Amino acid sequence: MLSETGVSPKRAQPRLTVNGLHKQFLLHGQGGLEIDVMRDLSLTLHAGECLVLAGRSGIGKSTLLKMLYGDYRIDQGRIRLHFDDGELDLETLPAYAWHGLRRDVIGYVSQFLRVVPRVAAVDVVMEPLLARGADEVESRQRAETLLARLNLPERLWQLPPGTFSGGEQQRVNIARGFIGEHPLLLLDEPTASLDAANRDVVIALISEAKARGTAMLGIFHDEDVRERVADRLLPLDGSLGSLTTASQDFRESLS
Amino acid sequence: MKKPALERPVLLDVQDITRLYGPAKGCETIDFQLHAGEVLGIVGESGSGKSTLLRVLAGLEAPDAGRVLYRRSSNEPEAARTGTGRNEISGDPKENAEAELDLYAIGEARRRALLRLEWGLVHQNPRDGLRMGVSAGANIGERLMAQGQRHYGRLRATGQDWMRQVELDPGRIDDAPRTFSGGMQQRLQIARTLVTRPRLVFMDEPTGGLDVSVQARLLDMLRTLVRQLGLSVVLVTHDLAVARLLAHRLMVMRRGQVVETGLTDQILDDPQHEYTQLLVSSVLTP
Repeated sequence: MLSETGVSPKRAQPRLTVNGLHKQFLLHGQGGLEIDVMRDLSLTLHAGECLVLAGRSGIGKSTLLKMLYGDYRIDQGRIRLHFDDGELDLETLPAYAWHGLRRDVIGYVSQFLRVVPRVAAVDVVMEPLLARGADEVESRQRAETLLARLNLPERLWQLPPGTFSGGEQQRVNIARGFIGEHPLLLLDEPTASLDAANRDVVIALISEAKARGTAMLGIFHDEDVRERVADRLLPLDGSLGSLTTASQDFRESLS
Repeated sequence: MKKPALERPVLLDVQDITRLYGPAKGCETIDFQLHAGEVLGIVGESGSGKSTLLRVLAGLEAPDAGRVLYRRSSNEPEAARTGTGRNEISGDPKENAEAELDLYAIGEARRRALLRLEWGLVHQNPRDGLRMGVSAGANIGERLMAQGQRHYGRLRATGQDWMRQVELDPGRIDDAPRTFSGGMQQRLQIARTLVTRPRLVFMDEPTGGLDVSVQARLLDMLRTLVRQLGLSVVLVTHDLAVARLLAHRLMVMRRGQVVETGLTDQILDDPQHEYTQLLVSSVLTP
């Protein structure tokens, strides 16, 4: 079993540091109910490593990923990205800058696919490349290569993923997340609804990303997958979870 | 790995805009900046003042107070590149194109030239943006002709090309818009607006009033066009799902005032203001 104190890859430099992160939700509709979901969370993530968030299920591990991706506001604490020529503080980053940051630096494989209803699977997958101005023919080829690798039947490529099964949607989502080869990749249970063969493909994709120097932060419930991809584990039981019921999402917390 | 270039020039600088028809009717002390390449969504319920604000921003209605500044410094739009109409906007042939224009200080003629040459407006109701009596091709060609293009063959070819881009049958170029369905009319209005490659586009509920199946198709098209043309957009919508798919950033309005602004995902997933929380939690999700 790997531990948090496990040795990080030697050549690696920090790509992301998080210091003293706190998160609280204040629900006006419930009489100003305050829910603390994160206390004093810190971590360092290096280029070429996969750090896996560990902790009881339901304590809100996704919350951290959502803060790093800009889905949730950073109330207190510091998130810094490190580049060869300087650092970037995310907690003070103006809203207009996030769009470019997500396009070029931070990628995210969420648990659920959110797309325009009528768009074909292959177009969903290639969009991150087109957003950077990449050539359409080349982008389509790369998207098809990835979908083929993830064993998505070719007859589905031109169909909108809305009607796909959970596993098929997840593979479209994974292809879309990996195609951009972002230097920082957030993985929220990418293997949750996959069979063994496709889990292996995802593990291979993660290994290749590591070799490219991608820094990854992930949530994996499947213990076998976790063992195979994690360079280190980050135990979160101390800093996540609330005194009241854990809240992962504003909407969930209302229902 | 190098630090990404995240700075974007400010295209529209909106300072303290107030336009009131009565107490809390209209919009009040609105301040924001739109950066090049950004899609800004203005959301709120009917009566929140978002459409009034859009009319002021788009040059259709003078504010009671405040200024709308348009900065033309970044990458030259089509009209400026071809030279046509450039002087018409800047007013003075010697004035360089880097000027900052104060929308309601430059005078009616120059403002009209700006709207025609560098800006675009997509109305909720396509009948407000189209000439219903003339052909589809003439509708698309009109703004190009206003820029000085006169060659009939080229205008027609461009018209057909744009009909294809918005997924209309180019064979219907001579048909009047009144023979088109609502969704087709909306696509024609979009073609008519974008054909001049405007740098800044205002959209007022562009998918409102359309069937859901038609909406999805239009949304995808708008996303693609925004990306391909590098448009900057101010989008007014009451539909949070539309805002999620199109807008990078949101401004939430209530009773004429902005109650919260931020990254679209933040506004929808982690709303801070009491009203935004109510708005987001009131959406029906099938």
